[in-house]
Amino acid sequence: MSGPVGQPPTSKPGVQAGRTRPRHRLLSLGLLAPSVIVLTLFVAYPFGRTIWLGFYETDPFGGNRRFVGGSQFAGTLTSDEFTSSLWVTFRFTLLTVPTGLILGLVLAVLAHQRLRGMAIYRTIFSSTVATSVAVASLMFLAVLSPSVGVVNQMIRWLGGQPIYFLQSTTWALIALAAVTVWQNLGIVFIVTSAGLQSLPEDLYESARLDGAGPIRRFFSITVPLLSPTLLFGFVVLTITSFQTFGQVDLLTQGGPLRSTNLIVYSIFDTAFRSFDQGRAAAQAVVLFVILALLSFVQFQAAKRRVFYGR
Amino acid sequence: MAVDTVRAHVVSNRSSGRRRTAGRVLNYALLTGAAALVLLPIYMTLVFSLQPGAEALRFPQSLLPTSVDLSVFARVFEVSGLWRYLLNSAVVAVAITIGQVVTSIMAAYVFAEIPFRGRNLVFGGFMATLIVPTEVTLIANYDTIVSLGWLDSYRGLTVPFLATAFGTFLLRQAFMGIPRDLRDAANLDGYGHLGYLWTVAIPLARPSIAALSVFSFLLAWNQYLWPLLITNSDSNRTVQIGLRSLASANVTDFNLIFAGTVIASLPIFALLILFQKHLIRGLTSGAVKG
Amino acid sequence: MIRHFPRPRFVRLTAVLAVGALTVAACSSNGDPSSDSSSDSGSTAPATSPTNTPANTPTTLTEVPVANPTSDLAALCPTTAPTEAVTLDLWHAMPVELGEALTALTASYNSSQDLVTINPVFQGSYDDTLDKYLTALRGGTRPGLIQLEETATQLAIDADSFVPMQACVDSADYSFEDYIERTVTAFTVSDTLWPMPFNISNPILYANAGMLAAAGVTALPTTLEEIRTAAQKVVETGTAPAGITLISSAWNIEQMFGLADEPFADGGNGRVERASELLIENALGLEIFTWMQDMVNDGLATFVGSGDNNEHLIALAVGQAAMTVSTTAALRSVKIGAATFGVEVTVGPMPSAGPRAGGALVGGGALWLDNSTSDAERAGAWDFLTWLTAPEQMAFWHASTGYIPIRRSAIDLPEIAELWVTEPEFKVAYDQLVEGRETNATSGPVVGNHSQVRSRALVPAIEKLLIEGLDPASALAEATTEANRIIADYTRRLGN
Repeated sequence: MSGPVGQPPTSKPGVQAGRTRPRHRLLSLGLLAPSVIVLTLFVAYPFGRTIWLGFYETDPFGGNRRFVGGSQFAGTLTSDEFTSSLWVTFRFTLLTVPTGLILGLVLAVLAHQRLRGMAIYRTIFSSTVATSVAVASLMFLAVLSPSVGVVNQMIRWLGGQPIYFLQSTTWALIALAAVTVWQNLGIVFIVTSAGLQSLPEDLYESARLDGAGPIRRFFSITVPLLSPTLLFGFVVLTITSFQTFGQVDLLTQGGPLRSTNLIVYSIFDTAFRSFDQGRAAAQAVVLFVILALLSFVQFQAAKRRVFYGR
Repeated sequence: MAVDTVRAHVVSNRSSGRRRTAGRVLNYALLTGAAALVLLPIYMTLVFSLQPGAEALRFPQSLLPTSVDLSVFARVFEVSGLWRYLLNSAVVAVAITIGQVVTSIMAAYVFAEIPFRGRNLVFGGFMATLIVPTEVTLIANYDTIVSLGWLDSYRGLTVPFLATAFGTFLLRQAFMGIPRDLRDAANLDGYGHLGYLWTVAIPLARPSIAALSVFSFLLAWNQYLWPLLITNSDSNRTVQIGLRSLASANVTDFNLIFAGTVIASLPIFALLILFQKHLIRGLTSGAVKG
Repeated sequence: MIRHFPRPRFVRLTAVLAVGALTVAACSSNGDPSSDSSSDSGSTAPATSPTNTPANTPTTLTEVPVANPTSDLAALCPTTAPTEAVTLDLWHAMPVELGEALTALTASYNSSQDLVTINPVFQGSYDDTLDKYLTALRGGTRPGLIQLEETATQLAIDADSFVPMQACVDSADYSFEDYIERTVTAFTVSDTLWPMPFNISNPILYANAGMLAAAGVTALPTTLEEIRTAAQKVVETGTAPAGITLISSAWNIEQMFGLADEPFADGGNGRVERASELLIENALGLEIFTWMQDMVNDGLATFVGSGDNNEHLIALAVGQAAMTVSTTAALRSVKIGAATFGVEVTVGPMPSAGPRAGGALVGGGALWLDNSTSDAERAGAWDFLTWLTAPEQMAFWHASTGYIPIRRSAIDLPEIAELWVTEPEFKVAYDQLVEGRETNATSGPVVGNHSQVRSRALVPAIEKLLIEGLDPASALAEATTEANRIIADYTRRLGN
């Protein structure tokens, strides 16, 4: 892994310090060009264009734009559909992020022992990293499907009524959260394991000598020392939970009754099913603002926490 | 962070041998229980893919299949272009990985080694793209791809992802971490920028480059929304989208869905087992603390 | 009088191609016989070219279109025998077994001649297929042929991107004499046949014969009332946990309107004038919604969601319920599944809310010819379509899937005659189709953005009714308000 990011860039006087020679200007231009072109064409430009599109209404086929001012932004912010999808996304985040982090951390701590066969457990715990969202979603059908899924097979065997997890307003979002937590488990496990391994052993040694039990050691040493890693995981999981799409598309299509209509699904649905490009663009801009705010808040929190952790 | 060099975190209790054994049993019980839960979806998928429909529904026998029917794996290739989807995914993921590594090396080197006026501004611009997720630019990017005539093509699937600010950042850190003596020595030997980059910087940054490759490959392989949007034909569909079309299989065919899932996940599971160390390094590289 | 919406795109198509006023005249004169040609024919330049007057007298009832070889439309689709090699993509929504049957047909066609190659490409659900097409309209490669669900008709016409099949019919002087009339009229709007009907279906009742017998139900129920009685027996005798599974299918509701001979939308079900409102807030709608809710509340039915993943059929196969309603297109799969699970499945006509005054709607899909095709491709497509709907192919298609053979003479072929003896279930949907009276109500609604009306207005209303327990009258009111808003929004944006 590369060195810590926070350190200020050390200038390399090996190269002519300060001024660049024209030849080097050409060189740096050439070296930067591919990245600059791609990032401009496919990130910066479409970002601006998305905002622009938010001011135009299209015909039902996505053509013939007509300027409608800010009405679509206002309409988006006040529409039941969008506010409910924001609320659903928020609940989804609450369901997936803490659960995912805690489970991953627990597994990492469990696996952070010198025991025979531990390599196998580690491989198993990191295995879900090999699943894509499509694979994970379909694998959960084997668990949650009303007729085939093993959970309902067991319920029926015990004489109960099957639960229609994906067709129920109570369960559908929880089921999607379960898929998501499971799919993220591998990466959270890997990252927290790496964090655990970087913790100084002597601290534990002295805590043990002071008579601190494993639970006490976990809460008074592991958690605080690991807080930068956990915070990082928190940020990444939160942002990805706001970008969730595949699970919804494969398992619930946003239903029933929009109970799983996560925001990115809503944008996709508006843009490429209702062909209401303008409204979808307005939603996308709102999504961006939310994510930017989230990143900012978490970055501020991170700055404070990291010092605390060190 | 090789698995076998991990140092003990919770050292088992020293007070008595019996308590130690009890603790160990408890630990194994917890580990095994957790492993079983993690593996459950994978195991059920495998089991359902191997059993003909009616038997898959005979709980609890369905948990341990007595008869195995491999014909469904042949059938899944018959009813869906799975081979082609896997090939497409491989081509697209490899192309994106190579592209990202190359463009990141180039840009990162400039940001690490060639100062010029406004460089910080450009670098800030790079970093700013990190806060714009692809979901936000989806609609406009779709229009761009349409006007370029790249709908339903490898170009449309790859070109938008050929540069990455994250990779640039990662490799810039790696290049900056190279000791200055080496730079000076290279200078004395008469190496220019490109010579130094090729003979010193890239070899020394190999771990970061490997990490970036793994990271890029996985992200590219797992892409869902973009390929769903821009592919219209079997000749360009990726395996994730191929799975989606299998999911609409009919009453009798739910084992087809699971067989397809098994096949689609095999390549990455194989990579995980073969390249576990690199994979883990690649994934944790995202976690550079700051 | 209901507002008569202009059809700007439609008008533009005809104007650009300079074929004059055939369709415009047909459209406006059909709109309302008493109104003289209103603003929209006035706004189009060559509004009254005398030779283009359609042969049929305008009626409020859709009739099987008659070929008019001298129409200007005919120029759009030269149907002389193909002379140069062409390849046409056919985008379709036929999964697994249905897809295999379709691929078998196209392969057989491709090898039957040298010039035309049809390349079937599966695109997912009907909605996926339509969405893919509409996105491709903005600048992608479009397929030569595309299979669209019956709900897409108005949207596809408005898209202004298809060659009406009527053009080929006119140019080939083709006769639909042997086709089941209703399958052709269902896709005929303003005397113009738009796509070629192909995979025609309607919903039927699937029942677990053993369970019904065990519960003492002797005859298959044919009305909602009888379903309720049968379900009661099933549940009371403990034969199955539920009498029937219900899905949030808007199609089933539309079908029940057809069976009762009540139009689903205004403007003569959108067939005389552009539809602007749904007509479901009435006694019939209330009866259906109340019945559904009571069935679930009384523990006689299980609501299993959208049915997209065939949960209702799987529940039938594994004995969770004794009955369900689903498309006849699932018949072959259900029969195979039932055999796998050791269940005997029997089928009957779609249950109706009251007396069967009308008939089952013509559901399923039809094949549309894209207007980005060349003359040679159009000729090739026409050759394929007439081959595909020929009696022999229809017999194969019917037997391998359960879709209704749309040719009268197909049922005399030994394949079908024998099938109907050995597996009489296959005849049910056909009988149900041909028994239906021919009215605007039974031709089915033609509504702009119909699939959105279903997924954003009707399905949520059914879900509210059955999951949240919203009272039937309010659910109907919500569905109507939302549907009307979607239609109005769509129509307004058409003018952009």
